Amino acid sequence: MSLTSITAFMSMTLRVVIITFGSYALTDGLAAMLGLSLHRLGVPLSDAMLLSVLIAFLLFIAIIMWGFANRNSWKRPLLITIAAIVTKCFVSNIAHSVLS
Amino acid sequence: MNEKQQFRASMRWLHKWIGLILGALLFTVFWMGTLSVFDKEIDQWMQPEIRFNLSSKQIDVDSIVEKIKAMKPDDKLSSLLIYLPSKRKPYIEVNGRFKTSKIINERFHPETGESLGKSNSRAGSGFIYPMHYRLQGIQGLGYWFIAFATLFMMVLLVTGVVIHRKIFADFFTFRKHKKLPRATLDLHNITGTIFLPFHFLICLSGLTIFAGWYISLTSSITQSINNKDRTVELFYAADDYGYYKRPASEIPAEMLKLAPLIAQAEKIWANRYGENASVDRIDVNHYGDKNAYIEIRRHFPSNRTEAHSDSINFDGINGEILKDFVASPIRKIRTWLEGFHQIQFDHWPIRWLYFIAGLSGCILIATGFVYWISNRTDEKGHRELLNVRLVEALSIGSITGCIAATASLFVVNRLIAMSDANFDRSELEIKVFFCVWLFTFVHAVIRKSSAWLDQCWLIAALCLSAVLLNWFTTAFPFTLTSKVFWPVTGVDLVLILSTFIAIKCALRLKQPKQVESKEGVNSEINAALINFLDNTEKKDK
Amino acid sequence: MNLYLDAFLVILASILSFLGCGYLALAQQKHVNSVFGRGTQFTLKIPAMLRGWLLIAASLMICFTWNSIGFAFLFWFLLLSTTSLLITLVLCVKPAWLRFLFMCKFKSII
Repeated sequence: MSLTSITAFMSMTLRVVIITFGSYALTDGLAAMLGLSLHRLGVPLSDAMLLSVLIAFLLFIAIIMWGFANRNSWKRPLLITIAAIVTKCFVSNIAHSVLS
Repeated sequence: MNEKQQFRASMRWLHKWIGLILGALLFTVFWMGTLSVFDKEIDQWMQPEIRFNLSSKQIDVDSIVEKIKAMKPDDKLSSLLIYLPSKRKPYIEVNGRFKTSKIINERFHPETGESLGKSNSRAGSGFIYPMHYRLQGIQGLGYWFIAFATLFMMVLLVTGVVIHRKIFADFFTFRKHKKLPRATLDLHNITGTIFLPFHFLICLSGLTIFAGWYISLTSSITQSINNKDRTVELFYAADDYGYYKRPASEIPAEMLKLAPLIAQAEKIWANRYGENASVDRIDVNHYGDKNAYIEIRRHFPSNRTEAHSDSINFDGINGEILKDFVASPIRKIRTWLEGFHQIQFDHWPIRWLYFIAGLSGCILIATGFVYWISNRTDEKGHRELLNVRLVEALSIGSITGCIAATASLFVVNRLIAMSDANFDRSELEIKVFFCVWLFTFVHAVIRKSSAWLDQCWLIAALCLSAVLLNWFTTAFPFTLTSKVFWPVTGVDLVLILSTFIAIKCALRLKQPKQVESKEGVNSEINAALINFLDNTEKKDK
Repeated sequence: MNLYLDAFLVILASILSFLGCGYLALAQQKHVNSVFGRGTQFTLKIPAMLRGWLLIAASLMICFTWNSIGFAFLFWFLLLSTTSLLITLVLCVKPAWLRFLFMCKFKSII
């Protein structure tokens, strides 16, 4: 095993892990955001969260397919991670006001 | 390559890798899920004491409560969970929890009220059904493995559609006579495209059962790191089915009888929906306390697909209605999906079609593996050194191995029944299951590709012995005097059919023996090694 | 409803769905070739599609008679998939059995 092939393998694995867990975190954040937006529009909270959770499963599929569409670049994993962090920070700030 | 072709190539890579990594787990989940369609019938097969039909006369539920209290006379009952009989589960099941935290789990005959004893086998609804949503032996981790596997199964389905270009042109095409990769790929494609909506909906509906909990894992993690983040509580609202809670008041009081409350609930639902409604689950909380409350649920209606849409909470002392939960129209989407997945409604033709569709899902996953392996095998049956052999052993163990292990479950159940010894029979069955499964993996590693053939014979032998043991230890079903008990005879017939299918597969797989000298094997390994080293040298340059 | 009536209606719906899927399969030229022999000159696209979808709709109507609407759609949907699979297997193993679907063409061949 040469050094280049090992580093290529490790970076591939790292990208796969980041895309997988990043997409999962991103759908978590997006589901919460979607639920809160629907709630703002007047839907009761349980119904809003319910709809957003069902849609989130479909969103996960789309994000995974998008993330792996070009598996050799670091652009997509990075974008997914940044989007996940942004949505989750955003949601945790709003969740307080809705829940209390 | 233009963008579309590049996207297809990436999706092919993704489909291949997800299939290889998760295929074994997905086959297990699909296989156990397919058997769970008939889990209650398997229960009746494995536990002969519950082989009776639902009777129209039913004993008073309150006398059952008195019996539970009488089982521990110097202890106070604190909560009760009662499952009323249904067509496929014709007995009353009660879980009672006492103040000293003792829990008793009893089953009662619905007509006479006599105790049927504790079940000595976990059988279908105790082992096979939970295995397909939480695995066994790894505590809560199983839920998460399966959740991820299901999400990625949906990714597999969608990527499969993307890479399969001729969906309608090849809809009815199965070229069985062609070479193995082409024939297997055809079978993989048809079971995938013909049952595509079913597979997709089954995966999606499986996830919706624990939806809020599954989606919010990362929010739970961030909450455990940072206590002020309460995002995960938002997801509790998604899982809200009208649960009602209030703490105990520590003041004793006289409890109401359950029977009039049940009648009242059924009347409310009958008026609301204009059809017969029967209660199937009763939760009594804080029994004997002033703040007692009784939840009466219609969890699995027998005549509609929706599950868990209605529940009424009564006050335990004066009978007033504390909360009358009716699913909102949006929540009915979720309850429809849950009912679609759990298929507890009373409709045996749909049940059989689910069984066939589930088997097609198992064939889908199995042919995926066989296609990958056969693509990397040349005509003489030579394979590369490590990775194909590894995947082959993994696939044989997880496909025919899993089937053989479940067949052994049936055999062991009947073998144990023949002995009177007093030990934990249910645990022994589980241990034998996993031992047989492990053995099939080891066998696959040793015997390589002949293991398919061997394990087909093993499955045939186990299925046949299970049926014969059942007829030996309990009654033979086709006598002139006794009526056929269809749930158990149905399982017998499926086992016999499996025997025939396994024997046919084994005869098909039998190939003429190839004369292989020792030098031949060594030279094959040498050639592969040289190939491998050549490739790595090329990469270095 | 009566058990025997239910069983009869299940079988009827299944047969209609099976024939319907058979006709839909014969809308494709390669299946016409395998059923009627290679080098067949005729195409059966329009009559096959027409008869196929008609029979499948008839199967759905039969399902409505003995089920509530929700169960009818669910059962019919699964039945469609199962009979498609059966047609695929018949086409693979013994395609000549499907010749009776178009009796006129069959008679002209004999």
